[in-house]
Amino acid sequence: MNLLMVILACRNLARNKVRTTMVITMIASSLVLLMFFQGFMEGVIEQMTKDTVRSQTSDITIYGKKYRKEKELNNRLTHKKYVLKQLSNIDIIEAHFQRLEHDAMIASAYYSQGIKLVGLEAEKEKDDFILSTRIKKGEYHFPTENSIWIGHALAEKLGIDIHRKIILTVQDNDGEITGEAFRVVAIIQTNNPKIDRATAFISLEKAKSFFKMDDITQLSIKINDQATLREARDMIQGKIGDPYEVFTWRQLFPSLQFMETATSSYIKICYAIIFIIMMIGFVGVIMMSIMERVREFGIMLAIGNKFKQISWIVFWESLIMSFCGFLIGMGVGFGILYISNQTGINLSLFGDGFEQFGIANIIYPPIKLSYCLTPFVAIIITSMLSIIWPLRILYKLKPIQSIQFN
Amino acid sequence: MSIITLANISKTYSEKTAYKTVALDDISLAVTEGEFLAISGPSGSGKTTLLNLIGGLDSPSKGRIILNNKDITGLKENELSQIRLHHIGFIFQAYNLIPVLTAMENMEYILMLQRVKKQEREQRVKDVASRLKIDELLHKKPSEMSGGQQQRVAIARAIVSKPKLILADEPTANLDSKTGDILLELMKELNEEHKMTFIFATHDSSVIQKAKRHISLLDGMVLDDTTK
Repeated sequence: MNLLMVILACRNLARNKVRTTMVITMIASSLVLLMFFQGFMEGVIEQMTKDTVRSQTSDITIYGKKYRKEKELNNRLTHKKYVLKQLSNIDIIEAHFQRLEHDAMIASAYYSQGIKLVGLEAEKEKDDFILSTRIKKGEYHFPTENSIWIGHALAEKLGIDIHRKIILTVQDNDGEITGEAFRVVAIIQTNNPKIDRATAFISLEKAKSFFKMDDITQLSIKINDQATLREARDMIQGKIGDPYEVFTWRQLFPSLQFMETATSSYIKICYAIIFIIMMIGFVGVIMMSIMERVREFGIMLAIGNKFKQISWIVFWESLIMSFCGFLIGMGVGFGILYISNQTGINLSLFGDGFEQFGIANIIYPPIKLSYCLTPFVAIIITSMLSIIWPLRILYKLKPIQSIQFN
Repeated sequence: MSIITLANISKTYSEKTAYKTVALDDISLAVTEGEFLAISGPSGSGKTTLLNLIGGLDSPSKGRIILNNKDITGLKENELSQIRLHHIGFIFQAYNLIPVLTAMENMEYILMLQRVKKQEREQRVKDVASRLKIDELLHKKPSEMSGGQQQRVAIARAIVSKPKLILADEPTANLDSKTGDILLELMKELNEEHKMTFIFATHDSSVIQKAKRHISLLDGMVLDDTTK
C-alpha cells in the first residue's frame, strides 16, 4: 500500500515540474550555502587553533609550579632528567620538545622593543610544530650559533630583512644584563599575532648559554591519541607530581575553546534560521499543492481512501522533494568543499585585515561526514512539520466539502 | 430486502445562522436491492444532498441512515470510508478520475485499497474493461480521453469492486445524448445482470424514463415516488 502512495506522490510531483524543481533547488541551494558556511567557519577555527597552538606548544605541556602565573626564570622547570625518565614509562607519549622562553629586548638601527625570546629544538620540532611551514623568507635552521628567526610584523617594525643583524639584550639567570648580536636567518609568518609581532627564536643550546642555565621553561608532549588528551594529562601529572603543572592545549588556550564553542553555536543558530525559513517556504508550497487538489482528495476519500492514506501521499511528496534537494545539496556542497579543501579559500581577495585577528589568508575548509547528519535530520523534521498545517485544513473538511471545494 | 433505509432524514445548512437553508426535510424511504432508481427535481431540491447522505459523504442533521442493516449515522470518517470502499460505487458528473493514473490504474486503485491480490486485480480489471469496451483505453490517462471515454472508465471504476450500491450524480450531464444513452444502457444491463442497485440524481429525462422507480423531490421533500 505504501508503494502505491509513493508512486502517487512521485506522479503528483511530476505534474508541476517547475514547482517541484524550484522547491528542490531551494532546498539544495540552502544546504550548499549552509555546508560551505559550516566548512568555512570550522576551517577558520581549525586554522586558528593550529596556528596558535602548534606554534607555541604541543598536545600537553609541563611547566614549573608557578611559571604560568609568574614567568620568571626562578619558576622554570627543574630536574628535567627526572621528568624525562618518568615520561619514558608512558606509552601514549609519542614525542617531547623542550623550550626555554624568556623576555628580551630586541633592537635594530631604527627601532627597539620588548619581545619573547624562545630557544627551541628546531630539527625535533620540524614535523610537529608549524614553524617549519611558515617561513616567509630564509630557511628553517640555525646555521650559526647566533642565528635568529623573527616574526614578519616585528621585522617590519625593526625595519630589517634577512641577513641583517639585530641586538638582543636579556637578563640572565644570575640577574646580569647581557647582550649579543644575532643575524636574522628567517622571517616567520604564522597568523598568530603574538608570534608575528613580538617573538624571536634561537636554538635551545644558544638560549641556554645566553641565559646561563641548563634548565628549560616548557616541556611539550605529543600523544598518539587526541581522544585521551585529558586522561593523558592526569596520568602525566600523577607521574611527575606536585612540583610541576601539566596542561592540555585546551586549558592553555581557553579563548580558542570559547571560539570553538561559540562558532558551533553560531552554526547551529544559522541552521535553525535557514531551516525555519525553508519550512515556511515549504509550508506555502505544500499548502498550494494541497489546495489545488482538495477536490481530488475529496474524490479519493469518497471512493474509500482513509485520511491517513492521503496524509501519506502528501508526506511522501514532501519527503521526496526534500530528499532530492538533500542529495543534490550534499553532492554540490561536498564538491565545493572538496575543491575549496584542495585549493583553499583566499581571503586576501576580500582585504588584508584578517591576519590581525589571527585568521590565515587562505582557509582550507575540512570535509566531514557529520555535515550530512544535521541537514538529514533537519530535512526529515522539516518535511513532517511542513505538512501538518496544510493537512489540518484538509482534515477539517468532510469529503463532500472537499469534492465541492473551489 | 432493503439495501438502504432512510428514516426521517433532514439536512439543514448554516443551522444557527440567518442563512439557514433546509436541503432535506424529514425524508423517509427504503431502497431494495437491485433497484434502478432515479431521483429528480429542480436545482436546489436536495437530490445531490440526498445522494451524498446515502453515500456517507455528508452527515444528516436529523434522522437515521441504515445501509445493509447497519446504522451508518454518526459513524466516524474512517468507518465511513471503509463502508464506501467495500459497499458503494460512485459515479460523478465530472467523471473525477485520478488524473495521474491510467484508466487501468484508476480501476485497480480501489482493488488495491481493498487489498485484492495482483492476479485477481488484473483479471477483474480485464473483465470489466472488456464488458465496458474500454480495453484500448486501459493505458491512457484521463487527459488523453474524451468525456464519454472518461465516464465509461468512471463506471468501470465504480463497478470493478462489485459494490451492492452504485450512486450516480448526474452521470450523463456532461455527455452528448448519444453517449449518455449508450452509458445508461450499459448501467441498465449491469443492474439486470449483477443485481447492482443504482441510484441516480438526475435532470435527464432519458434516465428517468429508463428508471424502474422514480422519486421526485421539491424543496427537500418527496413530491412523488412511483414504481413502474
